[in-house]
Amino acid sequence: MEAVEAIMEVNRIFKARNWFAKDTQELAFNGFCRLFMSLESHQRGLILDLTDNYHWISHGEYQDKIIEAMQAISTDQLLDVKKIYFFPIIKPDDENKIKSGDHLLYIIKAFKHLMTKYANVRFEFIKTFDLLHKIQLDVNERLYLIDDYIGSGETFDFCMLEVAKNPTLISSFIKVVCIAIQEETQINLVMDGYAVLKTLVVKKGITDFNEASETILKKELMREIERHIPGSKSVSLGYNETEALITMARTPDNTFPVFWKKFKKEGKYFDAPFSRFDEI
Amino acid sequence: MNENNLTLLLNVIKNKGNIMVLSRQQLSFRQIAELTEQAVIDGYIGYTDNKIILTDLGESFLASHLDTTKKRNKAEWIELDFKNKIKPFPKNEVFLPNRSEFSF
Repeated sequence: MEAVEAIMEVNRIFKARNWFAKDTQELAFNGFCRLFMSLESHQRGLILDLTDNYHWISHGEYQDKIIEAMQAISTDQLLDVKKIYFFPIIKPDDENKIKSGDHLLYIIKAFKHLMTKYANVRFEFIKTFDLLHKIQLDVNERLYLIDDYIGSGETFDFCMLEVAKNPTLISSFIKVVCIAIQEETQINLVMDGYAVLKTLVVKKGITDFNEASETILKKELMREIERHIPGSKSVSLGYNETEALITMARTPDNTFPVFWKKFKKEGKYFDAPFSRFDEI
Repeated sequence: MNENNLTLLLNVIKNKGNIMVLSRQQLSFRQIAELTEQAVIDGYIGYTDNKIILTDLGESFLASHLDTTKKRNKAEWIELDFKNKIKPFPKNEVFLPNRSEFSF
């Protein structure tokens, strides 16, 4: 496939998905075009296929999406609930960092009136692990753990190690609320007894869309592309090989690095379509 | 549609050239994409065996317009070499170069 065809195709995808409304400065679009110009003919098709299945949830959509996720609960589950504690899904090491979960807590606080199913429930927001360890969860109280996106579930597991230190926080009283979650991780969470409220379930970009033999070939092709992306070894096929195809307000490192990490060709670096600007 | 840009686009597709020729015409990537899409709609380019190629219409358009894209005016395509320009010496100044610097 020639570069000009790939550029025309990605333009179609952008128009069909209304992405130009999010990409007002055309940074993402230009990133795709420069990428297609740098790739070899046989590599372009793979990137286009993945782009076709890609999710882009801009920061402006957070409010509607998190309200939708919160409302994705049956009312009978809330019948005897008087109070819900909210806590962001973070690692203890990141307690003092600015994380997306904190921001979502603010949205939930500000727009509680739009979450009509919770009209008779009191919300309380917990900010530190210290306070989390101290709460005494009653039978008519719940704990909601919040994040914008759950990838391989590693951060969640770290967070749960802390939650486990408080014996009143039992799994049937805990719900996980997020805008998007990887399908595999959601299955694991449900098997561990945690209900998940979400708006979007994301599949593995290569494995879940191809037959086994095709999967091997396409992963090999992706690794060939990643050879032009310095520092991509540790996040090959996305962190923990998550194969995610998603950009939130930021792009998680679970997404294939070709979408967010600088590409190098003939000594020159090019910004990725969904560049994480701390990756400099 | 700008005939000059269309000609450059058709030339790039026919010769598998670099699309950057068009970005030198101050076109953004998005404009290049739109131009290509329009050229498909207007029947200048099409697909055979999943390969993008010029149609007969595209071929004849290119043949009749390619000449006009060639820049004939030197001022348009040769940039002035300001870097090596030296200030002229005043009329009454005498210039005595170092003997070792003579190269002729």
